Amino acid sequence: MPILAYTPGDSIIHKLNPITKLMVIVLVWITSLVSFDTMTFLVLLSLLLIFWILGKISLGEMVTIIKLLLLIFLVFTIINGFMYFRGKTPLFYVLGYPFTVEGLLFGITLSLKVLCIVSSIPILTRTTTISDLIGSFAKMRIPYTLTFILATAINFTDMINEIYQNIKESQLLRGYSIDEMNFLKRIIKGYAPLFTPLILLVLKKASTMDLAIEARAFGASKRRTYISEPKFTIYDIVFIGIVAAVSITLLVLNIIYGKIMLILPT
Amino acid sequence: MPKVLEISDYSFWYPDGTQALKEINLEVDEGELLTVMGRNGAGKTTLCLSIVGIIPNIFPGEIKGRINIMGKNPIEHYVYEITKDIGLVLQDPESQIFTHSVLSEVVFAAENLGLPRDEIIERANWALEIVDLKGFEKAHPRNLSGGQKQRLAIAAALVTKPKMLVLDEPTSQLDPVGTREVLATLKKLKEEEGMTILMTEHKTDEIAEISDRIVVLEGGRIVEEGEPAEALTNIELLRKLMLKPPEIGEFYWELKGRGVPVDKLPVTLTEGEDTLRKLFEGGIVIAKDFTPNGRQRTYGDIVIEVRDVSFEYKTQPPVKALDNVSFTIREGEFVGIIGKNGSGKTTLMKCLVGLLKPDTGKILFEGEEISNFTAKERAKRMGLVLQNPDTQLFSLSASQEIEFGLRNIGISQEEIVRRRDEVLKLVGLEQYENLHPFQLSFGDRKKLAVASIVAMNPKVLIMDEPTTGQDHRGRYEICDLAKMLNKRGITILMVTHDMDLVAKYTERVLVMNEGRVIFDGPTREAFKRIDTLRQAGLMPPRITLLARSASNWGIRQDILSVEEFLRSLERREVGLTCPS
Repeated sequence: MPILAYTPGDSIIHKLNPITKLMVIVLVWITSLVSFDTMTFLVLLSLLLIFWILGKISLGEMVTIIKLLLLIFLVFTIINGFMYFRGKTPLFYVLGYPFTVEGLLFGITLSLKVLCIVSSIPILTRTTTISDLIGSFAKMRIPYTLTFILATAINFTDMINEIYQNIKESQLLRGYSIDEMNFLKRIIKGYAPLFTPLILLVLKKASTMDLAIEARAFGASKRRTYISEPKFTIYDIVFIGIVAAVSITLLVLNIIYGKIMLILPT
Repeated sequence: MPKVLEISDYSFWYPDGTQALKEINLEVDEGELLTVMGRNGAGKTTLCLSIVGIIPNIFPGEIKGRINIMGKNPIEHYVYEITKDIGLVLQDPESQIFTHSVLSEVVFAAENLGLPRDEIIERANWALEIVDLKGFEKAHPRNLSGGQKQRLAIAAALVTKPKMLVLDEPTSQLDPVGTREVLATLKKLKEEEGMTILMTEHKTDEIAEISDRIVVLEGGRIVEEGEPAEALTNIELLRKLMLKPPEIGEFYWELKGRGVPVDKLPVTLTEGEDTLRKLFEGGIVIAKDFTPNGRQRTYGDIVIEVRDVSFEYKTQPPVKALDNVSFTIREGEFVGIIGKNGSGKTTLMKCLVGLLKPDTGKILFEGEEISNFTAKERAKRMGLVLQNPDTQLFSLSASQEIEFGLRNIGISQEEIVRRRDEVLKLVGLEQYENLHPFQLSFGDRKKLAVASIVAMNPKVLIMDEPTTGQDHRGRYEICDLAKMLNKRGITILMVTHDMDLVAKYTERVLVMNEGRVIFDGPTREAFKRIDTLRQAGLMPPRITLLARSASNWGIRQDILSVEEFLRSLERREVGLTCPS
């Protein structure tokens, strides 16, 4: 199951207005982007974790996200371990170059920052139907053509993935297994038997879809109706209140103690 | 009766100069259900797209003549101005559904037209009620069955309250259950809502029962037009055009040709049963002793053994696709695997060739577990031709396409050339060896896909829905090919929901339902068990049902074809000449 797809449910998070969830994401992003403090990220992550639990999003998916990002985290930590300009306490040496404690901590902090940003997204995507999202975008006066492209792209990704799996299977049936090839062979000639039919099939599907969209009055009226009308409730106010309070407190603390909390031993 | 559609002297040329429609003259009355038949490439889709103005407004080309659709000429209007009044439903349910929930799909057109919110909701409820999808509003279209998806597409077209529906082969991708659902919906729309309907369709037995009028297209021209009882009993023409005559009509046409007096040739099962009763009661015909040819032959050793195989898709919620399936296949058999969509047929096939690994149980190929083989080793032993040939074709020519698999499994260059030439000839594509696969027709692409698998010399060939999307001729060509390969010693497993093909070609069937094999035995035996078939969402061919209605008069219950039925009847006075 795609980790970003909507899962039906009736949790509090599901019932929130999409705009509320969007604002929560924006607040978390702003706080994470400006801060470089480990504690800040841990507080944000705990908050997000509570939202995940309230939204009945399986915590196993958090593990999936971490697994997907693991390579990036490793690269961050290794590069910073060796290159961080404030690094002075060597942990070990490789070919004479020191790997420092400060660099290690900086790399971890950077990874936490990315984790905060990424793990806020499912709170919106897993609990909000695309029609509710489009409805909210319309309220925010984002042009429908843009939101329609976004929504169709989300649906299309699933379709492309499905077609790709079918193609992979049909080539496997002719003894062609991309998974058994080494990296170089894959890059040089491995993908042609998979991508050629993929491109042709996707173009074909897209053209039929174009027909279906045209036949269903797309672009007929300047004033499109949206049957989805997400409303604001007391929960929305409470949620935005909590997140705003936490974010602002963290930001203020970051500014006040900025130098002290920015990073461990300076 | 007021006319909804008038087409006069209409011709259309695509930009490459191909003339797709030639001087079409056609009128459709309000409330009429008109079916357009014709083989692939006869101009059916072009006609549908011209009526709603997609041709030439979106797909350009040259036009002569005129279309008048409720007072409008589609050329002079935007497509949405026409589709407000004319709903369009396309062949492939997948690619015409593009939102993420049933409700949002249904309301899409009405939202685009900017109708008031309350009215949209009212209309959506009405449309979902008609297509029987109430309660599915929040479901993701991905999780619907083929028939449900196509009914959803109909609902999505209904929401603008059109006066007419145009449907381009709405059931060609569907199983028998889906086909019945969609056609029943159309019947309801016509009868209860007075909807005018124009659809293109191949399934003559079904068309006969719901259409008011039939039009036959050939090479872009109308070659026959009339009520089903007329147009569908013009058996010579239908055979000449390689269209499938309805079995009931064909049967009575043959009887009449043998001197049995039949005034009006029936085309539907009910009419057929009435006429048959009269013929027996009037003593005009009597049953004759008839022993059908035994289909079973002696087969070789066991090639495939499936032992207690279960498989579950690990989705949310998990779906049990196979539940303790066991059977054996002997060398040289021709087995049909039948059942509705979602009964586990495709999962079973994928397990057989190792694309999926069963959760429990074993699959043995000549005594050895298939999970021990690599992909290459499996490809040499068992071939599976998937439904859509376009998922595998990528080479620049037909011959390269065949060489691809052979190279993968490590065949020598000399042998590659020999096998390539042999299989191209076998499937009758030798003159196209240098053509790009996508220049071939759908039917030929399918044959090429079969050839590319057969070239690897598998002992067992599995075909997954080989007839989907094909016209009558294509269906028979692909099955004849399977038959020929079977005669050359290849064991064939054919997954299909084409009951008349199962009746005609297979020797044994496995009937699947909800992941289990609910019947395994000779084809003739399977078609006697109507209840088992019904349970699996299937129905025997119409001719078998007609024969069953005459069991009181001594007709066998396991008649499988028009020819067999004719051979089991005798005309009282003269004696019927038996067809060879």
